[in-house]
Amino acid sequence: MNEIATYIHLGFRHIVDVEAMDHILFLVALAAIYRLRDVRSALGVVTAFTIGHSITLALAVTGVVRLPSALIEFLIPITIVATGIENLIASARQKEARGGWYRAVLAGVFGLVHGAGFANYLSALFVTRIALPLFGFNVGIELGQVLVLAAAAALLTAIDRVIGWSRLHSGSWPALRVRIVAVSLVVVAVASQWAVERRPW
Amino acid sequence: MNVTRSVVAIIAAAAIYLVPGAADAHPLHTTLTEVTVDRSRHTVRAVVRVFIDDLSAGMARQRGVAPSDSLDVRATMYIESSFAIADAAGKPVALRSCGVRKNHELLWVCVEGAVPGDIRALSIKNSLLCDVFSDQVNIVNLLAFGTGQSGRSVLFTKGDRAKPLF
Repeated sequence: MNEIATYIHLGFRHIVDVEAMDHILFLVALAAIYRLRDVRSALGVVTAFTIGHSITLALAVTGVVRLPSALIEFLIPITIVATGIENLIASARQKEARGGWYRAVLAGVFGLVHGAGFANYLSALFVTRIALPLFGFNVGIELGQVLVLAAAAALLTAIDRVIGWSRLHSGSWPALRVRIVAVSLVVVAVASQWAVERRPW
Repeated sequence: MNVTRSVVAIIAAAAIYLVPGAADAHPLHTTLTEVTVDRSRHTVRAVVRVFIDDLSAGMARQRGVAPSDSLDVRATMYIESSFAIADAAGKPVALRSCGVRKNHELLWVCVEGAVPGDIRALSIKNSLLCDVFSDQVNIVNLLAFGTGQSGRSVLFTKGDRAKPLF
């Protein structure tokens, strides 16, 4: 294969690998509040996340900014926890959870942190010839994200069915809210544990 | 909805134990090898870039090394045990060390050898660290001699056999 295909493959593999659970969990947290009919809102938020991590990745890999690995690896689960909490707060306030520009901003800012997570690795490995690997790796990540989001949509739909079937919802706890709370609590619980284990002090 | 809250709490508690541990940052287990073929001199040179912490995990399983062997020697031995270039007849090209250099978190290990016969029929195998990391990906880029430009790229993952270099 040609070189660009290699780096696309590498980025794709990096995201869909089960070892990439931190990245996958963040995408699930972002997607947790959306229904299938909210696909446009969901794509807007994920695009903001993509823009965020692409910016940091490019800045860090090209040496414009230097980012300490230990701090970044700690901040990644913190962004997941924060997204989960934001889901819970919005849900608890009974707000229209799927709208609002702030969520795209949140995703974009958190994307800056996630991009930094890849940056040190790529800059160390590719040194000077960085443009092509950087571009290909990013394209691969985006393709992988599409797959992860499709899987997340299927999972969330399945959860909705379980909630409907088991009648866990009620007038004050509609099915969507039960799903958001359940998924977000799981996300917050898991990512909190990672944050504690990755703390740099 | 006490039942709902209880179910959610149980799911959250269970998830901590069921979700694969990612306490360590999500690593990319990758090596990058740049191969340069000199057609006029019939030689091939490969420079393997490998993260030192990954390599250390691989070398921990290494046999036949003396405790007194330096990192350079052990690294070269490890590379030669998992990386091979074969000629048109499938015979392994004898590789010798052409230097080891530390570059931040990586070790650059250079090996080279003479190629008898048709240089375009070379094949390559790279199973570096595939026995250590299930997600290991080894990239081999073929550089055009004298230009440093890369065009062809070969990927190796666990279980892959030798592949044509050209």
